[in-house]
Amino acid sequence: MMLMMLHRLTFLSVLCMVMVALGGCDLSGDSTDQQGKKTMSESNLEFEPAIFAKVELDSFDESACSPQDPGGKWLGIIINAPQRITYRPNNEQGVKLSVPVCIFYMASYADMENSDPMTVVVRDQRTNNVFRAVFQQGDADPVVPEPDVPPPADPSALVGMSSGGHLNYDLLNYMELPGGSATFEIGVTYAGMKSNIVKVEIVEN
Amino acid sequence: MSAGDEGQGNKGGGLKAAGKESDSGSKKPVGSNKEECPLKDEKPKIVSIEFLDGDDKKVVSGEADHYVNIPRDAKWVSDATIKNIDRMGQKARVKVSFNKPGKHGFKAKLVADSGNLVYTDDEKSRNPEFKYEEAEKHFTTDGNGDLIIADYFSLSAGGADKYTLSATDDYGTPEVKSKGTLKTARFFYYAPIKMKDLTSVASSTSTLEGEYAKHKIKMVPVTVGDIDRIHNIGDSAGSTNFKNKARIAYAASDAAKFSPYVIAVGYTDHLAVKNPAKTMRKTGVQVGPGHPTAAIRIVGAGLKTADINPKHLWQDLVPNEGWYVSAKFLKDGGTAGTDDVTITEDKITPKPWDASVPSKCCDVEIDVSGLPDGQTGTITLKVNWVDRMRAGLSMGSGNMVCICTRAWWGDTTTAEQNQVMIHEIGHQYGMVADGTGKLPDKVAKYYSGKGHVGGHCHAGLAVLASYNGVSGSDCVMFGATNGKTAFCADCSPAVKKLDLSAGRSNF
Repeated sequence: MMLMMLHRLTFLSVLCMVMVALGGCDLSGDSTDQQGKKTMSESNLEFEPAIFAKVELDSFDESACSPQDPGGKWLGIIINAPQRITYRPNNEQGVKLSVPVCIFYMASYADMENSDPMTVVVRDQRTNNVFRAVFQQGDADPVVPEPDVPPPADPSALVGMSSGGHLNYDLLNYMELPGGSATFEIGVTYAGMKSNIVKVEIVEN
Repeated sequence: MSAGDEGQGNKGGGLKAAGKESDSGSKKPVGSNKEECPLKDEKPKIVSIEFLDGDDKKVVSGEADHYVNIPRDAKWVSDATIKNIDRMGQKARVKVSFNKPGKHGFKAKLVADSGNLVYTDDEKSRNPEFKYEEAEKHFTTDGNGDLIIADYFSLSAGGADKYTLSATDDYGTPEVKSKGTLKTARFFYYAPIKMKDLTSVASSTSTLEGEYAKHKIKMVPVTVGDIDRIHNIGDSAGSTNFKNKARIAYAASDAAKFSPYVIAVGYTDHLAVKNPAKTMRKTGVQVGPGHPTAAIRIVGAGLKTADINPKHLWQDLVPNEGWYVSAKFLKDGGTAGTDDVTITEDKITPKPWDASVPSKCCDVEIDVSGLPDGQTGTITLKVNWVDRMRAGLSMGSGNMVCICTRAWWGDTTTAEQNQVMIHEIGHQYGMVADGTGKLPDKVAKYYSGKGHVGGHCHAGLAVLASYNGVSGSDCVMFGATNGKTAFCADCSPAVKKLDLSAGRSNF
């Protein structure tokens, strides 16, 4: 299982580089937000690239770090995440660690129909431990069911159809990760598709 | 509640000078012109024990509600409900009278009705307020033959328990019993906070008041000024904005003065959650003059659920917010970003599937006749859609409940709003009791989570792994709206037992 994952990692690392080129977030480090950047002595949580600090977490529109839609007939999942997160635990300001994961996906109606929910898979490089969680928004508020269900669609309205969009999650709202400095490999699966793998180094100061 | 004059104890003898009056007249012994008191040789005896009712001379006659959760303070007196200061507080004020002045000993006790709530030992150990004062105690009157006892007769914290009094004196006089009965009750204000021009607010809250009245919780409305209309609350920032506006109106009203015995009821318009800028793509579309419209059924995954369902366009929910984000056509073999042809909103027609709700659309038709003739390619349509419609908002730990008056582009009925109010206020009061802290024991059909959030009751249903989407429940405290407005047979005793003396802190 782990071997398969490592194989996939190699392949997907290449894919990642391709996808990063397609992405809307420049991960070279040159586009850091100089205006808002603070040194670690001032800030308890710092991202590289710094623009990840601008991502509104658990939002579902295109963000500054969202991968771009490749367009055309493309189907798949692309993810972006910071390369490095420097964090000071137990800080006086109560700032919590967050791990932004920005996603764009497109999936055919048919593949989504019987799919499991979108799932994030994380491997801790120190231990090779693998963690999984479902990306699904929690909401304590009760829902009003639709009073009526729409009639079945005209079959022509379903032909050749796919659906998708941008998602911006804080990974730590969906799973707990071991504490301490570590490097994690992160990938996402949905509708029979697998994303590129991104590597996030978390440095605790 | 009714009050009578002071009891018969002061009507027994001609002792006016000593402070006791008689209406029994006098008699002359045969052969004597000397008038003698008929009670000359009467021994002292206890003549009455009664609950006081507003001052030291009025006593309860008949049955009177006693609001045990409200602390004894004149500010709670109202003509309509709590008629005097003796009808609140956990302890009842009692007056005992003898027929003669002097210091007389007697024993007195509360007598609980056989139909009263039965609190378990666990409940009483967790919350001493669940106990009433069961012990009989010996007292001695003041020198005038009367005694007012203000700090002994504790009533239980729940509602609908009945108590009378009994006393025996040290002289062997037969036991005397109170004519009046106290019936425990709880009292809360509710403060409706409405939005200007929102006409969908419940026309009546009689179902709410009636259900709580059955459990001896008197709910009394208090007026709060209207707040500006918010057409939709869709995220936490919207909730904060709503709360802030409601807070200002609440603080400026009488409601704030009645803290902590107030529940703020915030009525809202739609509580729809938008999923923004979702991408729909249709391949193999032939375009150009003469080609039929391209039909698209809007389908996608929910943010809360993996189910793939038709999604409704975000329209007619918030002024100046629409469903259209962008649309474009890319011919097969073309280069994305270079060869795309924009499709304007006016070429796309949302198609309602229910003529009575024209805003409700999950299909669109795209006029492709104006696109380059004879090409086949892919249409990419970005839309805002409705992820879900919520029935209420989590308002945190304060005293506010939120009642949604519109959903799916229609008004929720007065009955539905009352149902949600009863449910949400039930949570405010501690339902569904889980047997922790000061709450009653865990209700038999209690469940937590299982597809819902928080503690709820599954009466009418078996124990299931999840109650999400399950119908057939019987209790208003089920975790989803089910048309019920009453507490079930398991929850009802717990609602009667609830100790509401702590009130609720302001939101």
